[in-house]
Amino acid sequence: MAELVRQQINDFHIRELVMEKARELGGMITATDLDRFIDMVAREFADALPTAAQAHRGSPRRL
Amino acid sequence: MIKSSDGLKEAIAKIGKQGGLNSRMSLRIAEDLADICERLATSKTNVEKERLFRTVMGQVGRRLKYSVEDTLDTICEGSYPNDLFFVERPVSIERNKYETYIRSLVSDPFRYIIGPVEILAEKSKETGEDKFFPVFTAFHRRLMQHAVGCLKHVFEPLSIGVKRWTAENLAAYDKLEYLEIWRKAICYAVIEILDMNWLLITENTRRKYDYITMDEIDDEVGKALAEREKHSVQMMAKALCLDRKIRETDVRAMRRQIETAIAIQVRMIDEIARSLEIQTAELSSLGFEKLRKRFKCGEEDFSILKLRRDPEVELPAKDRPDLRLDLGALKERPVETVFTLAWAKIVAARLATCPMY
Repeated sequence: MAELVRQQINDFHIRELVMEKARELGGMITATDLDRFIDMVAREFADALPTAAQAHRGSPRRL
Repeated sequence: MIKSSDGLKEAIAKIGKQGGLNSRMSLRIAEDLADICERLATSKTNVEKERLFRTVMGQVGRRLKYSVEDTLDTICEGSYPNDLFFVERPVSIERNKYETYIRSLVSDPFRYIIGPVEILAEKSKETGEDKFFPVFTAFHRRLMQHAVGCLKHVFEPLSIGVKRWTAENLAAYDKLEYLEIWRKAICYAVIEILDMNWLLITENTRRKYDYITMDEIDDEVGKALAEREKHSVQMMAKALCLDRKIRETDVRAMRRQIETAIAIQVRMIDEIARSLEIQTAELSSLGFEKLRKRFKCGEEDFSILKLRRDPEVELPAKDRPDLRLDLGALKERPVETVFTLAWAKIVAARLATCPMY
């Protein structure tokens, strides 16, 4: 799931959008901070998505 | 590529939608993350940024909130997720201590509900950390499904299945606080069941009776059947969580079940209260003593029950736990209340599968 999310992060150009937003705000995001933020996005969705997918499937998921 | 200032939020939301999250939840996550991005971009120093990361990642209950909201949405859509616990060990706690801790949390209330739950430990492929999984066996799941099926008409809004624990929100409570929530949850859950049964039973009969005995209920059931007014009988069965068609020959069995159900419920709350060392004063504050009086249940004699409507011990509306079953309102409730309702389901499951039935 995490891999899928990371792929989607690339597909939707999240990195570029973060940089663009930072420029709009007159701030700056370093490469390290950007990486950490992207990690955060990935983790957030990686946590949320299996729950939703499982709930929609309606069958138990053995963790 | 989206160029607008809101593009980041939209793009993040798309990730959620594509992964199967509903729109509202996807947007909520996206808004949070876009806000974090903004705060990150405008932080002046590395210290501020570091603090932001630490704060955000340690934000208590954020993911749990998402999970609960998503579950509620799922219920609205008509499917029932299964109960799962996800327990991840905080890095700062030694494995042995943590396992003991989790076992104490998990097995204690379950001792009276579905028995001890096996706990497995596995290494996370992503982080290498140990994760502990209380394992719900096929029996547990069947029990839950049976309960949900039996109680759907009464407890549908209680069917909150997914409780998702992460290191962050688990670490947010110390053990006493945590147990306190569970104790209260169990108290409320059982009271809710008692109260709901009582209210539904009386709702169907109070128009005709001010004073009810089992024999009178039995007579009334007989009359209703004779008059082919099966609706009222079915309603009574529903009130007692017995989702089955009532035949004439079932009437006496149903009467026994009424007595047994109430006896079990009263006995259960006594046992649970005793095992969790819930003080009499605490039970009293929750209205249990009044309920017990209302059901005329002594502590020792559960076999002979008289169901009476006694105005002197009628629980005033203001004293009843406010657990009206309203999904809209539920979304506004604190997390503890959601736990309460989840536990109500589990207690109900225990009742529904009691061997005495």
